Amino acid sequence: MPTELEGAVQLRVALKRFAPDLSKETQTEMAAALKTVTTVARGYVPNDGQVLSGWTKNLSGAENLVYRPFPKFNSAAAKAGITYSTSPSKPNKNGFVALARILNKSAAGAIYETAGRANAQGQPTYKPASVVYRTGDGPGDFTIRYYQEKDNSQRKGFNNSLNPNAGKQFIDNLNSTGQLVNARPKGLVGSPGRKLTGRLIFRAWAEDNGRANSAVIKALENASKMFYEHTRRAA
Amino acid sequence: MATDLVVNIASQFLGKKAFSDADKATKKLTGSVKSLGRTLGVSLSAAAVLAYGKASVKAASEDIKAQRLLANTLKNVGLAYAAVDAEGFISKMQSQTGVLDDQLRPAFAQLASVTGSVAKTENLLGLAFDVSSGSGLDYASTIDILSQAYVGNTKGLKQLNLGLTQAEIKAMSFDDLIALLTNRFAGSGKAALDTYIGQMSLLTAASSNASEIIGVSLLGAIDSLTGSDGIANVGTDIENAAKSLSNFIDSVVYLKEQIASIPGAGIVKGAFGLVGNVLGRFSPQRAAELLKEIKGPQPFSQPMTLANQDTGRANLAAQKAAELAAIKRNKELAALAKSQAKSAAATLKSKKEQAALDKATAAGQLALNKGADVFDIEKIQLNAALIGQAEALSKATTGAQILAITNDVQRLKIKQDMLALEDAIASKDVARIESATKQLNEDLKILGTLQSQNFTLLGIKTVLDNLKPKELIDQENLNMALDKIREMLKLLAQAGATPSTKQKSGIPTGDYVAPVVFDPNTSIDAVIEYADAATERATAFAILQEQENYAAYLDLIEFQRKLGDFGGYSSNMNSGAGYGSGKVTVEIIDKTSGLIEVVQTAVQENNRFGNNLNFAGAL
Repeated sequence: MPTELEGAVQLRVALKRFAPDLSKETQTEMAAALKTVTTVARGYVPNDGQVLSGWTKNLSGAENLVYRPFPKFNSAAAKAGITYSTSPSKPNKNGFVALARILNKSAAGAIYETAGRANAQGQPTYKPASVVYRTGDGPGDFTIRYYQEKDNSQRKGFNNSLNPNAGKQFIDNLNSTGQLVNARPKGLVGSPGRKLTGRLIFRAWAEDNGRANSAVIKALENASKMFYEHTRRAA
Repeated sequence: MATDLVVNIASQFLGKKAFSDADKATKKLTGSVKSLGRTLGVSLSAAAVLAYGKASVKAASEDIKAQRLLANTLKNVGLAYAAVDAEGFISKMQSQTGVLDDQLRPAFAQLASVTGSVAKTENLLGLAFDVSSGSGLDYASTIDILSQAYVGNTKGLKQLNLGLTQAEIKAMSFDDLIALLTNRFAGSGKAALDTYIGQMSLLTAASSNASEIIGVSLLGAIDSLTGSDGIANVGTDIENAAKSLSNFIDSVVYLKEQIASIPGAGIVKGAFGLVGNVLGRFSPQRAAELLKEIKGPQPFSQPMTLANQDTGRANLAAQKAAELAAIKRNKELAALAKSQAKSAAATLKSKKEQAALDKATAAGQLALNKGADVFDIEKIQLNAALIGQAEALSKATTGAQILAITNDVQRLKIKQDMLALEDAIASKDVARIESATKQLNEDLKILGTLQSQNFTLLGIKTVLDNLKPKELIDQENLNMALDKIREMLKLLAQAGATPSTKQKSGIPTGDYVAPVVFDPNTSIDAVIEYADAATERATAFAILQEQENYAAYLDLIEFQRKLGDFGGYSSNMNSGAGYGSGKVTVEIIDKTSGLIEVVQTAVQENNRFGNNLNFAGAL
């Protein structure tokens, strides 16, 4: 849960317009604080050889697919996807603007970040309804057959692999390279959700213990003070 | 996806997007209201009149375009004769319902294309207004739904929340659906029109209609003014004319207000109204009517030419043909819908039966699982053997055995039930499956009861066996005692024992002190005397008995001495082989040579057949 600063967006606009040097200095100061977190987070990205080999191999004929295949893992791309931003974001649906952000942009990096936080044992296997059929005339000659409403249909939220343990094996492998960590600060009211749980940026943010957060806020406060002094002297 | 993976730092609340949307919507609404106010306002400025004129021309031209498109569509579907009637219907419906002709024309064209009948189209347009008002859907969507439903696609009807399943809707014919919709949404349109919004929509429709009418007039004016100079040259004239018209309207309003402020102006006001009416009578329509009156009565609206007669006949024929084609198509669609409904009903029935079968099968499977848990083939075979044994024991079984046999019989019955249920499942007969399942469950319950009863009865039996009194003397014991006595007598005879010849006590057999019955007058002394006598007699008998016992003891000792040593003392008891005088002979027989031969033969045979008994060695 980010700290709310009133007037920070307006301050950033005013700095950019009336004190561009101070604006750049503030951004540099914020970036320095955020970079420590992204550097640590990039360090948590596993090598290509550490994840399941199938996740790194390119699918043959992928260019002919009419759907987007499961993103392949590439350690370098995942590391490059971990970035920060010091410019204000667009307002979210609740009207809040983030003044600085740490992002995990790559698809494979996002999967590594979050896999297993919703279903620790992998997604459940779809269990179709069953019907008992007679297979012969003798006693006990019957079998249970399962039928599906739509054959070969991909079901969202279910394990669609032929391997029923695919999800678990995938998550177990990821857990062997890095554990899921919840970045929600301790002592807050309410139960922690899984939104702030991850293996890369959330883990690095949790281990930072709020130092980067404090540095960003301090940079903005300093900029505010200096801008106030600047305008007072100018007046 | 990746956008969710963000750690937001130091945020600021700038207000919700919904607030800005609402703000925009309010501004837009305010603008619309102002626009409407300007349109309907009395004091129109020159600019407003000019803008209104432009908008009217645009609306009129679009209206003409839409009319021609509709006419073309009707022509293409063989309903060209109905173009004029359709326009009349649309105009009337617009004024009654507030639905603009911009919406009604495409709707008319769409329904006419689907139904091929003007009458049907008009009915559906009216129904769509009610449905649209009642369901909250917009008019165009409602028309879409109805036109799709006409050709059997009832998917859209789900949006109307009719309270029926998709299968039920599919099973209905289009006429049934129309009846249902008419019944469900009857009066909705009228109720909607009674509201403020309904009145506003009527007003809007009227305003739009007026705009189009004025636009048509302006287009006519432009057409007459254009001549050979072109439209561009008459723009100034139109603007001037519009300004003059605006000034004229303002002046008339001002004049009306001033007249109203004069005392006793009622008569003048009435006169003004008369003037207004007179002016109103000189509208283009009125002028046309007057011109017609001046020209005199005309027998036919169209000149009596051969071509027009042919056109009239052709229209009539086309109308008849179109209606017949529409009826035919309707019948075909009805047949198709009936077929689809039948198919849907069959599918529904099949699904229900399948569901019932699945349910019964699941219950049967559950019962089978229960039965399989209980059923154990080895146990059944063992119990069958026990039953055979029990029969072999010629029905002489205990209660516990009977209980065990009953358990086994019940298990066999469960096995039979399971087989019957399997057969029922294979036959897919729901009633049979349910019956077999019920029977299996009942027998399983009975078995469960028997098994729990088994422990109880066995426990009771054990307790009863422990509590049962032992018979001290029965016939068997007596026989055994008699046999022992006979054996002893036989031994005695073999030992040559003779009965004792010693003197007896001399007491005569049956001798005793006879009991005396005392009467009440008997003295105490007599009683005491009798008691003393009886005591003396008993003492004498006791002494005699002891003497007899002693003599018998002596006889027994003598008898033992004659039989041999029975454990007592003897002079040679510690000599020889121990007790008695028997001789023990130990004979040693040497048969070791034969044993060696047997062993040797066995070793040789083993070696011969490859069973080497020797150690093979090791690396």
